[in-house]
Amino acid sequence: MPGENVPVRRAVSKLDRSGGVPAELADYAEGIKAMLALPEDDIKSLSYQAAIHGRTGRPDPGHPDWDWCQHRSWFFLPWHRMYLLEFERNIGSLINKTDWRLPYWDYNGDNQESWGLPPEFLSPPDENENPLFVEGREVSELIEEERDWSMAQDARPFVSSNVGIGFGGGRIDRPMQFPRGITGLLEGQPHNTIHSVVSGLMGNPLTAGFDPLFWLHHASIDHLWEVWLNQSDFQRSNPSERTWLDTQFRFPTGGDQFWTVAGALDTVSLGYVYDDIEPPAPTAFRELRRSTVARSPLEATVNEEPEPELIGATDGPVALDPGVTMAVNLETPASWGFVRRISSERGFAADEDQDVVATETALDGRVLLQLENVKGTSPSVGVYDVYVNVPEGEDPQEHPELKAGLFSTFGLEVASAEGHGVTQAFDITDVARLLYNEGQWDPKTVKVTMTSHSGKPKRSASANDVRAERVGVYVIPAASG
Amino acid sequence: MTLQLDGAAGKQLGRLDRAHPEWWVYPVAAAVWLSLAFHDFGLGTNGPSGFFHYAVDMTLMVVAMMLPLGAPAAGEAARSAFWSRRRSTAAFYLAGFAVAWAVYGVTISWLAFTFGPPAPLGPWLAATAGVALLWQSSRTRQRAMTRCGSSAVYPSKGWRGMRLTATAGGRHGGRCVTSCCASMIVMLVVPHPAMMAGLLGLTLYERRVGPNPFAERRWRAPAAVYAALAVLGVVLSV
Repeated sequence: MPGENVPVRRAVSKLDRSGGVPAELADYAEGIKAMLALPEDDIKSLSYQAAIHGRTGRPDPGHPDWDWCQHRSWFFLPWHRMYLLEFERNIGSLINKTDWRLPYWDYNGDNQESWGLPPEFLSPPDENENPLFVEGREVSELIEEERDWSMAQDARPFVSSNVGIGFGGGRIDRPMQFPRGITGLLEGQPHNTIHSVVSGLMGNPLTAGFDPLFWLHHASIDHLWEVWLNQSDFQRSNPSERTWLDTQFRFPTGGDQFWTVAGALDTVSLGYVYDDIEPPAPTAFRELRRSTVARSPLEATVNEEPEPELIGATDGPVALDPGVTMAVNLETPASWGFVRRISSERGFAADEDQDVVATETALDGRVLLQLENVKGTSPSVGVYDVYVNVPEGEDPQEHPELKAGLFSTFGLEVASAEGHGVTQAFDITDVARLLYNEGQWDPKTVKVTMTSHSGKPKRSASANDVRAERVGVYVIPAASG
Repeated sequence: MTLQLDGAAGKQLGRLDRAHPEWWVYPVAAAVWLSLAFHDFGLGTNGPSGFFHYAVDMTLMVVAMMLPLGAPAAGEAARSAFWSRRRSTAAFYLAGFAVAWAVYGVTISWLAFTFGPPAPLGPWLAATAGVALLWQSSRTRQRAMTRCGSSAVYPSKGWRGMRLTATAGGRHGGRCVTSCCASMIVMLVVPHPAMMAGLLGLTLYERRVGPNPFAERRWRAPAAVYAALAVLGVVLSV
């Protein structure tokens, strides 16, 4: 069987703890300790390895090995896979165990014990003795909506162009650390959310690699990529475009290690497999979404990139202050000549009746909400809760059924400093259908409310300068007439 | 007689228009190329009308050459706009992009006109190809090349949205000018569609290899071409 004798990356919650600290984590702690003991300019030191992802201060902007992390594009997944492999090899060589493999943090698993930070990473009686512990992490357990990945799991395409409906991110033609780009569904949730929720070193892409938990988090993201590909309900595949496959990345190994994306797709040939790539049991969130979206006809477009059409947008830039509600004005899609035709066949004449046809057609497909070109250098919020059409005067938290999802500001400061905004989409089909069925859907306006997920400000709310260039609503019609 | 676009052909065209609202740029650029192929460039003529003639020719040449490279980004901007504004969004984006190149075209025309026609050919070819070679390998240029991509724009309605779209196109064009400005001056010496085609080929090659972030690999082949042109210039000089 392929992969039969290949070393296995195992779920951290399922490691054998009968004898105390599992062997894999004891080895990991030994490796991290060895990396911390190396001088900072040693390629294998934790400092050097973390700097490949990013560094604060940027003392040497010209250093060829540093500041290479790929976010908000279709290079996010393959680059981090390569990065993890090099890191894993470094640990293996420092502890003289070349078949050591990084465990992954299985927060998406069925086992409640996996939802918290692995106990070996929490502060021990004498914390100086535990290299897996770092100061500043703000949570010890993740709640369901933070670790939920159902929107990514149900994604059909890997890549998308102008709306973030792809599993792996938006298409760009050359890698950049923080490009103008579109956040992939998996990167947005749970990747960005968990970075922001754990906070501390993990909360900033320029320091994240210093936290030993970072590497298990990214092993989990890599694992979810394999799970996504392995799902049998409909076919998923990686992009076949040469622009993606032929892109090369270099990693310092003493010599130079060049990886192409194409060379980083088969984990068996890369020397590892995961212990389990069966999709986890559906979360309550996924059950809700599947119950409404399963009948979506998008299965027909398995290998085609759907073409969302903008039907609504804010009139201009909007400040994303915690608690803000903004109105997105909707139009009947102008390309939908069939709306007029169907309306005419049914004897409808009034605009209101055409709105009904347009809305029903949209709800038979998908409805997407997108925060576009979000920029800010002083976000007061780590993670926003994004709600749709909360009744006026009511507390959004009383309406979990109206929640579109979470928007994390992870990396926003750095991306904004590079001059690029962040774009992230949410599938709000289920919320829109719910509202429509209850007679609460307004075909002219969608109201979007943003609140602080934790309720705790990262810094003074008055310093918040987060703005979206536009908030848009798109539809992918089920039928094009 | 009305052309009926029913059936498969109509659907195909509709799909093309939906996926690539910027498609019209390519025939426009091709038409300009064709007109330039049968055109006499006017750098021998003196006086203001001569400069005007020459500047228009050079600007047309530069813009026609670079416009297709900005078109995919214009399409991206257009797909982010309301359906009814898709074509105007692509047009405004490309207008901004073209203005950046037009400013550059007029500038190099003025330089060529002020400092005299680039003749004899040999030394000028050697000099300009040498400059292109040096620029090609500079870090400033490599950084510009890495950043030379589209400017994400999500236009709002009305003139404000169109202005933002044109500005985004202009920013994109500005980054393109920074990365490709030196190769364009070679065209001053040999203002011929064959040279345009050659330089466009090099630019496309770089974009093809462009995803490779390791600049030394990316600039190697174009640099070799500029070096060869410089050597040819030296040979022609002696």
